[in-house]
Amino acid sequence: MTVQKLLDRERYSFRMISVWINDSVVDKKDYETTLIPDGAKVQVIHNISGG
Amino acid sequence: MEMKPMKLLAEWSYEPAKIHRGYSRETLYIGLGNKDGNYRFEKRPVSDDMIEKFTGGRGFGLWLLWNAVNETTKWNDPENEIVISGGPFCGITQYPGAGKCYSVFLSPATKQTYNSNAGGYFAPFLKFSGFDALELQGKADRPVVVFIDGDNYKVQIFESTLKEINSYYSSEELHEYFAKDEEDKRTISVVSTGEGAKTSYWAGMNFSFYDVRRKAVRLKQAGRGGGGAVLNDKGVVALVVKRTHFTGLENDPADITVIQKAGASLHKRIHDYDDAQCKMRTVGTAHLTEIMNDYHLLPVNNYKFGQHPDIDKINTESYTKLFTQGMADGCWYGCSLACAKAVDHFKLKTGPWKGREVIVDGPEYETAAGLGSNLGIFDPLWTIEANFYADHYGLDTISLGTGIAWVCECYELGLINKEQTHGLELTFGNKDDIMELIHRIAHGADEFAVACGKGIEFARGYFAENYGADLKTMEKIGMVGQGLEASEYRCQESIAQWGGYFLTLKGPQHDEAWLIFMDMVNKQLPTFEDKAEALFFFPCFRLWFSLQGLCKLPWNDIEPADNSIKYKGLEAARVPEHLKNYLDIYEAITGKPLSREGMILQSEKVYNFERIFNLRMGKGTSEFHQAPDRGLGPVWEDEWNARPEYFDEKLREFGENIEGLSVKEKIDLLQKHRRGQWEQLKLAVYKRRGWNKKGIPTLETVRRLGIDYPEVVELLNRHLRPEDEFEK
Repeated sequence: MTVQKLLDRERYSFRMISVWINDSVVDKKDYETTLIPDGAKVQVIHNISGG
Repeated sequence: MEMKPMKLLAEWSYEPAKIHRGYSRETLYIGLGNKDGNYRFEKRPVSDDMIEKFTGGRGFGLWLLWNAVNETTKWNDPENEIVISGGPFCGITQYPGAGKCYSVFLSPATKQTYNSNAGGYFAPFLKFSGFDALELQGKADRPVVVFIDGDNYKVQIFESTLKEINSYYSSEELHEYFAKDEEDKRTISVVSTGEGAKTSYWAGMNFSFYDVRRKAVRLKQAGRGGGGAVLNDKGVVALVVKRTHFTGLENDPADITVIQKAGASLHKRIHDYDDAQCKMRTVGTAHLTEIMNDYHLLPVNNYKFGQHPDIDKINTESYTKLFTQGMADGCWYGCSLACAKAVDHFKLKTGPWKGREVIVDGPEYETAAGLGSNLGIFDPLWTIEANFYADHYGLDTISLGTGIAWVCECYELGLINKEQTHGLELTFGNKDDIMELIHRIAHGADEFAVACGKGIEFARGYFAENYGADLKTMEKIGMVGQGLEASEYRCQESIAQWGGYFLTLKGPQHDEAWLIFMDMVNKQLPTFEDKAEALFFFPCFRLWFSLQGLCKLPWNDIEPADNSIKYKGLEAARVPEHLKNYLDIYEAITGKPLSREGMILQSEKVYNFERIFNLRMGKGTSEFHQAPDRGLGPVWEDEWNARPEYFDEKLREFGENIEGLSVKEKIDLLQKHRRGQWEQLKLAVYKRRGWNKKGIPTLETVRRLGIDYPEVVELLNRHLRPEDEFEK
């Protein structure tokens, strides 16, 4: 599964997101092409401030 | 201008203090007497201890109010005060968001202290006129306008000749009255309320500034907590301040170049990245509606649901089209985040100004959701009209929205009927009747409307006693805490945000902690200790802005492009580069260095003092930290059935076998588990904050913070019990 597919599956639509795979950040331009390895630790951080 | 010349009742001249390093070191006390015309004016000194313990803004407000009232003072006693104060940053023009002030008072809604922030020009002009804070005490013997003339260093009290007190009217009239000409109107700021203040505890205060491009008054709100009701009760129709000449050096900072450099860098960041980030300059905080919807956080039908198929009608694109673009919508000089959006040439369809074209300030997210989705209404034009009248009448849009949403659910459940509502069918989405209710609340039209306008806590007692409505049901569904209606985020699925709403000092206003994403989505707070740490740090961090005269939006509604790459986890949430700006600017203004730890310590002193003040007023213990069922999860079957797999899974996470259970049984089971988690959270948070199990600050905490004044120690000794201490 690519990073973008994961975001679509989880419906993570927020624009200010950063994605980390095994503690390395994935560049936004690479979301469509970066595959998530089996067993990898994936963090999707929403940088949202709230009201 | 319609108003006739006003009769001068009292006048006082003063020698203005010079501001040095962010402080004038003087406050202004205005005594209105006790309906006897004994007006009094005084300059009071700001001591080193006051600065060291309370810093400014909300801190000054709490200290001055503490010394003005006693344990039995009620919100409508003459001893109650409204204290308005900015802080050392207030009035700088080089860095965005430095026009804020806090108004502190005993609240009719919460029956304890409340502090409400507003942007705009009032606090900077008050400071430039020579005062770090304004104390207003007593009750006038007739409707008055108080004028602080910062050009001629006089304070005057006039008998009001305004024919109505509603804010857009009174503010326009007073800008005209006190200005020499059109250009001079920008040198004035007016604090006012509206006729809603006569009967509603939801009445707030409007702080004006003059929009020179639009040639019209704009309003910012210190909306929450009922400050407008207090102002009206004192017989004050408006506070006016005028200050014509000032420079960017008015605060006499120690090093202006640091402030200029930080400001230039932030302006560039806003210019380069705001469009890709939060779009504050085009749509303000209303950009949040579809984001909240995507994550089931948008309040729909009294927080029952978190999403709605009509979201596209109230999304960023919808509001962007309605807001006038390309205007300098900052609420104080130097704010390029410019998020104070407005709708121009809006023709009102209802109410006393029906047919008139007006400017509407907002809506911001809270209003878009509160006077929108939470009422089952997805019509931006309706929301804009409701927003206008709420502001004009002086009614807080958040309390109004959440309060009426609760009334609608009571109506739909059959707890109240059409006869009791005086003919209004208050179902979700009934735009006409809900708008009519807003007008009736403002006018105090009948006993039902008056009860609604006093807030959920009052109204449910009234409905139970007078209409036989079931109190327990009304309690379950009322999103209210400590007498204050919740703001417009669904906190159910975030344990940390239960605390961010219901373990606060003043009630469920999200300005202490907004942890929903960090907790629920990012899963950065997995344990109760993590949540407790966040519920210690973020309230203190956010409180810091309230001491300084700062708006928090430039802190994290714009970020460095690489913020989340350079920093991880909670550190990224702190936006370290902007945090460093604030520390550098604090030193550049005051001449005193400040570390991150020092920043939190400044806040922790005030945070605990405010908690102790609430204890003094008969609140401030764990029994007042309550969360309604609706705040913790589904209450009715339709809520569960909106996300059945999600909620079923939540029960399985507790180890429950849900085979064969009815939906009602599942709801009861989930609520039971979550109540247990709520109690666990409460204790974890109290412990982290240095309080005992009853939520009372310990003697050890107050000594560590240096707020162990004799009267504080005496009060705590009356309440602290050894059996309530946490094991060391």
